[in-house]
Order: sequence, then structure tokens, then C-alpha cells
Amino acid sequence: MRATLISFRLDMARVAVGSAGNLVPFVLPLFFAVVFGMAGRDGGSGFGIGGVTGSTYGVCSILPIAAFACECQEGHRRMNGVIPANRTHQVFGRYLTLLAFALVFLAEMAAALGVVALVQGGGPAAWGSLLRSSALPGVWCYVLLQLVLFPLFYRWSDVRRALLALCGLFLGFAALVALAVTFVPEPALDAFGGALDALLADPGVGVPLGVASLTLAAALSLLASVRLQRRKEF
Amino acid sequence: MTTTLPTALSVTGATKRYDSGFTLEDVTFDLPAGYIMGLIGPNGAGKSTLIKLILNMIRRDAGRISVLGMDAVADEETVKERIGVVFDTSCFVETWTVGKVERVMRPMYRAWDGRAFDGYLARFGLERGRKVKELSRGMQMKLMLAVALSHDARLLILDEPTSGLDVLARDELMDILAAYIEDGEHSVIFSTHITADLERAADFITYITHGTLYFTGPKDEFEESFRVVKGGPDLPDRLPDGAVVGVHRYATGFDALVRTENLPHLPADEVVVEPASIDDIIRLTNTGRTAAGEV
Repeated sequence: MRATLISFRLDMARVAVGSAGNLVPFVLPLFFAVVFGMAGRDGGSGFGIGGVTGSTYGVCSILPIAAFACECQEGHRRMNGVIPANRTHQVFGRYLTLLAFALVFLAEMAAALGVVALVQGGGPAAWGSLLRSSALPGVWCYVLLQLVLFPLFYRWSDVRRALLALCGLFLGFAALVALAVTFVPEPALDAFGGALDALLADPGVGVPLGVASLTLAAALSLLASVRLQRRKEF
Repeated sequence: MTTTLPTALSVTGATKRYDSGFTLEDVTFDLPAGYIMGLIGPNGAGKSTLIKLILNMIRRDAGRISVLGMDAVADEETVKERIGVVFDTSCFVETWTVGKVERVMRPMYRAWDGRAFDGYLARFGLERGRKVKELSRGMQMKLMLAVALSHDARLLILDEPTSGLDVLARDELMDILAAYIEDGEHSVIFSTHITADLERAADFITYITHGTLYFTGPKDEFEESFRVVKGGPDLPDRLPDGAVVGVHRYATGFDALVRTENLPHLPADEVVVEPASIDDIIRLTNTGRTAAGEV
């Protein structure tokens, strides 16, 4: 556990560099929340929420990329050969940063949605509703995306290649969806979508399902990342 | 080389094969506790590869490495608590300040000594508010050294620490290393191609060339094992086979490296015999008629 925490602290120190100027991107979702909140005042609230979610995604995506990219620059990776932590600990420490980043994402979303609710004239109840309907699913998507991305970052030291591989996965997923839309009858798709929506709308089902799916994804992702990191040479 | 002294570092049959074709083959040596070992060889010989193997930064294809009596892989966490590492360039994030480096490194080591670190900062003239990228190369090396010396490391591993340093900085580093091992419980291995540093500080030499261990043992024995023989341009071809380890010819004569015990086989009236420096040995074992098996 100590070695994992050592790796975690090192990664957080790598990410948290620079001046206060590096915090400017994290103000952007709040700015967009004002803009999109005002734009969505007359019934287009979904547009506003989508804009806030997207901008928060964009900003918080920097964090894990920064952790991997910083490690690869200027020989910093050699610190991995110096610190009292083996490669498995280093991977676990990196995944702990994902927890921290998810909390940052959640806090950012909560703040931005609060601004949207305020701009649209809603109160705490409206904010709470937005948190349930947007922030929690948003965190789930963010964590799931990173769980797919982390093994790619371990596979390719070049962050750009990893992101290209992710694009490839998205394209593959889009192709599957296109095939489904093409060959599955529309009523069946509608019924499936409706049933899924109803299921996930129930917190008693949606939350455990979300946690279970993330747990499974995390286990598979960790396994792949540990194997990849153990084979790497610094 | 066998020894009954406690061993700070034991490398047995360490082998690493790269896809490029370079192989570090079957390296075996021991560093007794309380001594300084110089790891020498020409550029590309495999010195840094060996250090990376010791630090488990690359995978071994064969062999065993034991650091302070512990397996370098199985006990990696404990080993790294007890060793200090200095590279040729800074491994810290360059936007970190010196103070931030301490805040990052301090929790990593149970035996971190803040007062010792403060002392080294003062001795080296390192200011806490300076960023790593604002430090000169020599100062960056000193920062790594300050970190390495501030957690009671029993073995210091330095990879080309003096490259790019001026003579004053190199002298200062050698003084620090000499003081470090004084108590007999601390040891140092450092790789270098600046052999003047070894003349001053090293007790043992491990010499690697073309990925092969050429010599390991006391420095004095290394130098005493060879002589430089000089003579006229037509003589090298008449020297007995096997007597010459390496030869460098030039228009008016030659320099040849000869093992000391082979001197009687040479025509004494036609050659001049001189002591061999470490530089001579490295130079002449990397020319023609060089045989690694001639050790």
C-alpha cells in the first residue's frame, strides 16, 4: 500500500505543476455554464447541459494525459527506476489518480450545473435533479473512458498514438451502432432504448449497475495495464 | 573476483539482448561494502545498460543481481529505499522548485533526513525557490546527489555523474564520495568515461567493452596487469601471437598493450615499455588485435 501511495503522490506531483495559469482551463466550464445556461433558458435546457458536460470532459481529460505525458518527457520516466515502488505499484498509483481526477470532474460538473441552475432561475431542487441526471452519468462515462484509455497509454508511450487508437475504437463502436441501426428493426431498437432508459432511471438499479460495470471495467483495465507496464523498458 | 567481505552489489551472469543486435553478455562482479567501484568502458559499451539492469529499468535475459543482499527484482521496493541514484541529467520535473523536489521525495523514504538535505542544499548552494530548469547541469546533478544522500542510502549508483561538469565540480563530487564511504558501510558504483575521476577515487574497476566484461578487480591490479609497449613500425608483425592485447599503429611506430606477464616474450632491445594508464588500456583494447578473452 505504501508503495502504491508513493507512486500516486509522484503522479499527482507531476500533474500539479506550473503556475496558477494552469488552473485557467478549469474556469472554462463555469464560463460555458453561464453561456449555455442562458442559451437554454427558453426550453433548450438539454443543449445547455450537453455543453456543460462536454466542456467539463474536455478540461478534465487533460489531467490523465498530463500524468502520462509528463512521465515520458525529458527523462522523467527514470524516476520510476528510482522510487521505492515496483511497476505494479506504479500502475495502481496511476489508477488512484483516476479516482482523484474523477472527483475533480464531479466537483467541476457540480459547480457548472449549479451555475446553469442559477442562470436558469432554478433552485437547489433543480440543481439536485441536474446532479442526478447529468453529473453521476457524466462521471461514469468519464471514468469508463479513462479505463479504456489507460491501457492504451501504457501500450504506446506516445500519447498521440494512444489517442489515435482510442479514435479507432470509437470508429469501430460507431460502425457497430450503424450496423445495428441498419439491420435491427426500429421498433425493436425503440423498445430496447425505452427499457434501458426506464431501468437506469431507477436509482436502485442504475447506481449498482453503474458501480458494477465500472468495477468490472477497472479490473480488466488494471490487468491489461499491469501486464503492459511490466513489459516496458525505461 | 571473490571476496569474503560483505557485498553491497553482486552481479552474476547478467545478460541483456537488444533487438538492435547489441548484447550485454554474462557480466559478473561483486562490489564489497565500503568501497568505490568505477564502471568504465567506451561509449556504447553497455555501462548504462548494466545500471538499468541493476535498477530494474530494463528486463534481464539472464543472470542474478543482488543489492545489499536482496534480490533486485523480488525485493525492489526495499532495495530502492536503501539506494541513492544520480543520473547524468536531471530526472525531476523541470518546473519543480528545489523545495518541491524535497516535498515530493521526502515521503518516499522512511529514513529521510530533512536536516541532512538542508545541509546539502547549503553546501551545494542550492536555493529552495529555484526551479530545476533554472539550475545549471552541475547544480542539477548536485540536487540529485542531495536527494540520494538524504535517506541513509547504503549504495550510491551514479550513471555518468561527471559528464558535462568542470574540473572543480568533479573534484568536489569525488571528495563527497570519498567521505561517504569512510565509515565502511556505504558503497558507490559509478559509471564514467572520464578516467581521471577513477584515478582519484575508485578502489575497484569493472571494465566493459562491446557488451563484454573485460576486467573486474582492484584498480591497481587493473593498471599493473598491463604495460604499453612502443617500438618501430615494422615490429608489430614480428611480435608473438597472443602477447599483444591491442595495437595502435602510426606512421613512425606503434603503441601496443601487453599483459605484464608476457613482457619477457618481447624483444627487450627493440621496444620501450611504459606503465599503462586506464585510458591506455581502454584505448588499446578497442583497436585491432583486441581479444576480450585475453583478460
